[in-house]
Amino acid sequence: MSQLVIAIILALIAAVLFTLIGLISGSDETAILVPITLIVVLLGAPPVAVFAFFMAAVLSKHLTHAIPTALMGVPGDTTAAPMLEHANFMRRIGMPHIALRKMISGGIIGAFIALPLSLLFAVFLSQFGNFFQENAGIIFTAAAVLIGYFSKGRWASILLILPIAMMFQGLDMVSSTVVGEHLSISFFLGIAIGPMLSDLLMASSKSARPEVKRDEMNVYRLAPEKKTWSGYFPNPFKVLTRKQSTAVAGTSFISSFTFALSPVGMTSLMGELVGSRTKGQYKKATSSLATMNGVTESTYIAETIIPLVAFGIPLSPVALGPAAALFNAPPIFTSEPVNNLHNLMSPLEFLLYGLIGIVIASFIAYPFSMNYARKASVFVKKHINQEAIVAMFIGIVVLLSFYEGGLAGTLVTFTIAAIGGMLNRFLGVGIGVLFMIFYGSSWMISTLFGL
Amino acid sequence: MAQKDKLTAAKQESYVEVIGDTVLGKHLITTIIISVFLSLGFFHLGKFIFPKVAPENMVQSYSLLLGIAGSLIALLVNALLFKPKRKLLESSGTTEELSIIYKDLQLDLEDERESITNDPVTMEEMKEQGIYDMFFSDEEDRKE
Repeated sequence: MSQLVIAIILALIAAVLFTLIGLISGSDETAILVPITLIVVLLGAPPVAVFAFFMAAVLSKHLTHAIPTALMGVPGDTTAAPMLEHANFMRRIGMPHIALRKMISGGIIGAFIALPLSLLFAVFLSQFGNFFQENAGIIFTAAAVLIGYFSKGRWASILLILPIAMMFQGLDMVSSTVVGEHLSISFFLGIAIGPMLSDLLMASSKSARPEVKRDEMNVYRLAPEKKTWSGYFPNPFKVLTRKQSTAVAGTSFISSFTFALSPVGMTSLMGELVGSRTKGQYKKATSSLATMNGVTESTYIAETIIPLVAFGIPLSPVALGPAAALFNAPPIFTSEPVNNLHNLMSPLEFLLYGLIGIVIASFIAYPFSMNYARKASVFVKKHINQEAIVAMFIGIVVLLSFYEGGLAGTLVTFTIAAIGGMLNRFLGVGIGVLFMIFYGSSWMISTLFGL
Repeated sequence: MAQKDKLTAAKQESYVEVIGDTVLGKHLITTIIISVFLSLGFFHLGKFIFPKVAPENMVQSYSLLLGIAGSLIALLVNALLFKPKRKLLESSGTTEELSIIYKDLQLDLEDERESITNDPVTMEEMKEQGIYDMFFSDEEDRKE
């Protein structure tokens, strides 16, 4: 019973926190969700509560990421990027508020479809779980090659798999000698904040500075709201037309079964599928936006639940990125051997606590974004400077890595962030590829040298 | 990417773009120092205090929580310390002609009107939102 109470409280905290974080434009999911989920795990929250927290966080974040996307034309995070084109059209004709309402309503429908469906699929797939767990090293290595092949830096990513694995193992050897145990949080925090750190490093280097230098402040336009919402909790099915609700339901249904594809790719694919069948720009834009935000929710949920419930090892882009802490948060959760939510929770608990997470998030993030979207974005844009936001994340990352491995932990994090960030920025080596290499590196290096 | 119109900055300072927004280098250094100092400072404070008041196996976790509190206090301090380096334009009224926008985007307003007229559900929705007239008023003007 007390587990239930803790789960509800944590879901509430996640919903409020991530509703606010969603307002910050460009807030990367991995860099934010990983450290904050880690904190919850490390503080000793029961597994079911961690899951409810994560579900509430994902839903809230993806509902409110629509706010900067629709109102300011700045993608709320990476999955919001495909929505920009249609959102910009709606903004230009002065109807960003309509775009926003369509997106948010699509998102909430998508989430409620994805949770039970992906769970069913995961239970079906779990009979293959042992095979995946026993061959995790090979699978991660193969996945690194595959994801690398489809990333922007195709051949560079593949060529660098062994050298990067060597670097990970080298750092592991040094840090485990210093600390006395193997570090893991420090490693994947480093991968997660790489892109942020590369911006900072470039600003501090005379030769790279011109790349990130701007002579003027960024200017954001915020169109005025035409009409405020009447009532506090709008019905998503009334905000969408019947056709749009069907489109959202259908695409969320399909994307609930995919767990190995990139969420950004799924989002644009499904949006295109619906958009191309719709005539008239207004309808095309609103239908695509509702669909795409629905798909960002459903892929995120499916890509978290399917690998978690079926295999217990992180085998999807989301599991390797934002949801990483559900699989690996040593000493509490580990994926080799599997000792994480996979074996600590039953499928029924996944359903129950997942529902607690998304219901609570719906009751907080949904009406908030429908009613106060504009006021909230004005407040953030006017009063919270970007420096404070960047600094807070650097502070949290330093704290967590220091917590895990002292100075050695922090050094590991920043070494990996510096190298990974540059590889990502200049060679297009995806963050997912880096995660895969990290998980496969122990197998690769020990097989290669017969250790 | 993002539609960021540029305005001439009043001061001749140059900005740096970090995760999609402009910041001032020296402000960023100050905020990072404050944030790291407060986060680690509170963490160590916790490790000093909690052994006296809390069970031994909870000391690390409680200290971590105190450290996170430090990060949040840093956010607050930093938010009060500096002004954001971005400009917000709340453009009033959308007097821009819809047709100009459509032409700009190489879309046909006539096609759009047709698609709306042929779809009573969308027409109803647009009337409810008070945007229907925006699409059709100038057509009536022309007839007059």
